[in-house]
Amino acid sequence: MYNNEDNNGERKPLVVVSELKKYYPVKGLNIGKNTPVIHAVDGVNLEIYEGETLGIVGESGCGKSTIGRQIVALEKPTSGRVIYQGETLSDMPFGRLRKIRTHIQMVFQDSTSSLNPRKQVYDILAAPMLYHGIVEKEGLNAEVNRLLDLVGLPKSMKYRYPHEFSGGQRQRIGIAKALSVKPRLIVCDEPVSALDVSVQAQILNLLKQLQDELKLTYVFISHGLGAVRYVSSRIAIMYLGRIVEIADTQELFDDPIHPYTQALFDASPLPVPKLRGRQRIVLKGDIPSSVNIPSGCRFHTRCPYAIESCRINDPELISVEGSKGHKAACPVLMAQRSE
Amino acid sequence: MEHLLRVENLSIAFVEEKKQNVVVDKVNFSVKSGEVLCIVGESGCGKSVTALSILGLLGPNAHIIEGSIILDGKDLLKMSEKEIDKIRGNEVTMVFQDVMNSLNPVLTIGNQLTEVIHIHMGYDKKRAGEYAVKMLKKVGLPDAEAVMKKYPHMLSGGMQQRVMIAMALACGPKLIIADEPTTALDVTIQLQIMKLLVELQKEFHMSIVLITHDIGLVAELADKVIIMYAGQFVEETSVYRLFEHPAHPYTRALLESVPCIYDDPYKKLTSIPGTVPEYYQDIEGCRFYERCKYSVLACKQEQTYSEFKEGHFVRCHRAEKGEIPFV
Repeated sequence: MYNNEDNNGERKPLVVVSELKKYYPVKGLNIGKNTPVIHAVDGVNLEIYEGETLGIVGESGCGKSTIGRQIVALEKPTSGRVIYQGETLSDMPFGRLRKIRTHIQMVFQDSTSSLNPRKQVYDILAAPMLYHGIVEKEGLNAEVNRLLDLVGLPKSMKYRYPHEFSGGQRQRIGIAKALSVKPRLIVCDEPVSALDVSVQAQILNLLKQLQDELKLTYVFISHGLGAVRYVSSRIAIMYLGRIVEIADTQELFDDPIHPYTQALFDASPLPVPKLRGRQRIVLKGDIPSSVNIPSGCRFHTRCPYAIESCRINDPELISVEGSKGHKAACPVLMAQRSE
Repeated sequence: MEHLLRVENLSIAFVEEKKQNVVVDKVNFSVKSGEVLCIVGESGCGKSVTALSILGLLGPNAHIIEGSIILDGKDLLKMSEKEIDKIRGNEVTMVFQDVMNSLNPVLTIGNQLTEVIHIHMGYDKKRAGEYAVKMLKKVGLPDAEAVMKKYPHMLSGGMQQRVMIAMALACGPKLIIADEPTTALDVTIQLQIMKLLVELQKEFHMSIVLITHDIGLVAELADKVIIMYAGQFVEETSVYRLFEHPAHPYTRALLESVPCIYDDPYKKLTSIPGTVPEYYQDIEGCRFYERCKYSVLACKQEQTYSEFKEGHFVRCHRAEKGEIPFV
């Protein structure tokens, strides 16, 4: 049995992501030249602890979903490792990986295309349990009922097909499917982005409630800061394949350090009309392409505080003085703070 | 202020297998010149259909049952297609959510933009080209001359949306209808586009009808807000009043169910039970009845849409009497 605490009583992480890189070749004819690559994830280090919710926030193309796919071992990394309880996922033999897949599950954004349209809910939920031998045939019906009850769907619905459900209900089925193999870690990739506002809150509350009941660990990937803040205990902000800042949720919102984090906070619209004219950072230009990553700090092309050295030096995540686990990758602003 | 646009008693139905399905049910609203009106609602509530009907852009299976759309004193629904063509693009223009599919992929930006200017303003090629460059600069595109020669796929989503806005603004319209203009964009880009719209709206003194589901965006942009639920308007008031004194239980629940980055972190998010009804024309009485925590028996009767405070309309008999507790 894997021990969650080492000899000194320190918490050991459930998952360690170490120097992870994932490049995708750009499709198309590239005769006579080097195939350009998309630097989806470009050197990420992360630790995920048991029982926490780690939020990963970033704009489209920043690599947040790619990290999620690496953690559930849907793809092999270009380099670097994802280590689950001391074992590297990409080195595992198939049989072992199959076993580990019951520990790590995923909930997808698009519930329509992640459920088989020709199968009834009963079969959708039963298939993973039978494949992994979680329950015997006799207990299957009761287990399906239990799962539906867990996610708040009436068990009379189990003989329906996915198209007969609304988006929110389909997402509940997606969650039930992930729960069917009794996982410890669930990677939720934009689970509420495709849902209506009034239904989003239902799903977020359901995820929180399930976490309390089943002692789950979540990786919550989203571009919606409000939703991430609501469910996460710790948040990592990503920009162009790198983590630029990571901290406990409260700490991050009280004291954002990286200029990108600040700009991201400023850009989220507030439901308070009186604050319309507030001062805020409006970033210029677009996110650079992840094929040609800017030199030095990858944010310097849009950063309002960029100085000459930002073009040259690639900053690393540095711990913030006097904080617990708050790290940011902006030496310029961090030097100003300590003055 | 003069009313630029008045929509009266408008009902729209989709015809499906010979059955009429009413999706917009007797809506009334008006837009003053220089005003930003937001129509807010969840998917399938009829907000986009309402917007499309103003420009006569509804599909062949949609059918306007009754009502009138009056722009500057003229009823658009009584006009011939030719007459509407003169208004569309000149006086009223539209910005869509899905920019990728609204621009022609096989024509350069310059081609598309000059065509619009040529047709609507009668400029010759050269003058239209110069004017197009001027418009692209106006919407904040750096290196406008180069953008003219590019194809849509060579631009990012935010740049494409800027091109769309330039196109919509080219003929100096009085009214822009923007259907979820920033939904497909990243937050930092969304802020850029939002700022741009506000600046241009002030500069050209245009009116905007903004269709959105994003409560935050409403708070940032709107003058007047209409909340739509299941094909009906349920509340209408000024933006400041809406956020301070929301009246309808649906509006309240909607405002409370949006996670905000400055909320109390330990507050549980209020969620609305159930889902938006898919077919709602046959629901008797209040259409929010099933999901409402304040519903009583009298809600099963037809609800009137009435002005219970000056400039504040609501469709809920309990809210009118002040029976909905304010949290």
